[in-house]
Amino acid sequence: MALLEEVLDPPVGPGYSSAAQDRRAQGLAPSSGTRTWLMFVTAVGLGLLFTVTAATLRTPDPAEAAGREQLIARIDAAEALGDERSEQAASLRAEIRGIEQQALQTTGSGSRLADAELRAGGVAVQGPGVEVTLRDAERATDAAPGEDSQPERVTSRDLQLLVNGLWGAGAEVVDINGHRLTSTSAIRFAGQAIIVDFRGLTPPYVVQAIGDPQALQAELSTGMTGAYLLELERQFGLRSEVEVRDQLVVGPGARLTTRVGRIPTELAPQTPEPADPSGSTSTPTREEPR
Amino acid sequence: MIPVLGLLVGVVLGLVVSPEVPSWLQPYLPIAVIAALDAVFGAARASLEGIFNDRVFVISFLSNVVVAALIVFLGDQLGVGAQLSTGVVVVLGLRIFSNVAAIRRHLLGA
Repeated sequence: MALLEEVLDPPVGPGYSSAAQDRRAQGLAPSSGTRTWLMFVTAVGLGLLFTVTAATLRTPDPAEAAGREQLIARIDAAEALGDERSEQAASLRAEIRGIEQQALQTTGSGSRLADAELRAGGVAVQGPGVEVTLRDAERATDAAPGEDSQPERVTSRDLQLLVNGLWGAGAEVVDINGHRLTSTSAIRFAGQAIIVDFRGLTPPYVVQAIGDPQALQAELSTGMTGAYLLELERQFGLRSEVEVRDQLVVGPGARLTTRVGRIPTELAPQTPEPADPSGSTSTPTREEPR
Repeated sequence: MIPVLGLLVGVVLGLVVSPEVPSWLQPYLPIAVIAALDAVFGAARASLEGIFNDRVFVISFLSNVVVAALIVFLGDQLGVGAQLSTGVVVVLGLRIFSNVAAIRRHLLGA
């Protein structure tokens, strides 16, 4: 009970009372007043303490900030270099294509090559399809006061499920934020970022899929993927929009080489036989269903 | 008037000079501020009750800051720095609240 009384209605600090009693005994006023040099000096000290504390604790650690900026600069530089290289690769690939076309004009197998490139993701493809935009949540779902909770974010698993659903519903070409997914593409999670083919993506995530728009839309509204997207929105506030597009253009994949797999030496002179020779068209508008 | 003037001088001095606080001292700054606030509210209450004494105020201010820092330092050495910091904040926070309640009773009569 003594503690409760102390907490609820404590007497003024005993120091002040006894000091006042002493002064009364000496025949002085109980209060010394606040207009003394000691008060001035103490107040200066107080102001200094508050200001220095605010200034010190408010700004982030300068060393850390400098390190972060350096890292960001290095990432930017590396990405610029990567962009440059991939542009170079694209132009070289275009050159190779031109030369190949020239060389194959005489043999007549140019359409087969175009077909194979279309399947492998080596050329830009256009056609009707759907565009799905996934966004991170705007607010944390259940933020307790004083608790630093981050809004929910789209994870690689969400994108994987979405893309797999699109493939399953007959999508022929899928692209995330301008990165064409090929047979060797990976959607992964590194720390807080989603990595597609070793490139970090920033939200919103725009997934473009070329395929039968009706089938794709059905999968995204009533199919498993649609149910998953709805659940994401309801539980975590991750918003998604589905739009049917008459004309989508998806660029070629950035990395088409295999690192380990090789054409068997006994087959090397021959070109690999395409699965469906009849479906070869000279103007690539649609990729064959997988 | 003089304490307010001093406070302003201190704030301006802090902004102009902006001294670099060594990193080993930084964990004690929040605790020092809470302890100083406790001393300030105690002083405000005492002056409203007409028994303010500058020497008592200075000593309570300094001892509050030093003791709070000492407790946190001891906690750091024992590996329970965070818990002891919380304890100091809770105790001083209770005192601040009760002092503010007393000041409110004096000023507003409620």
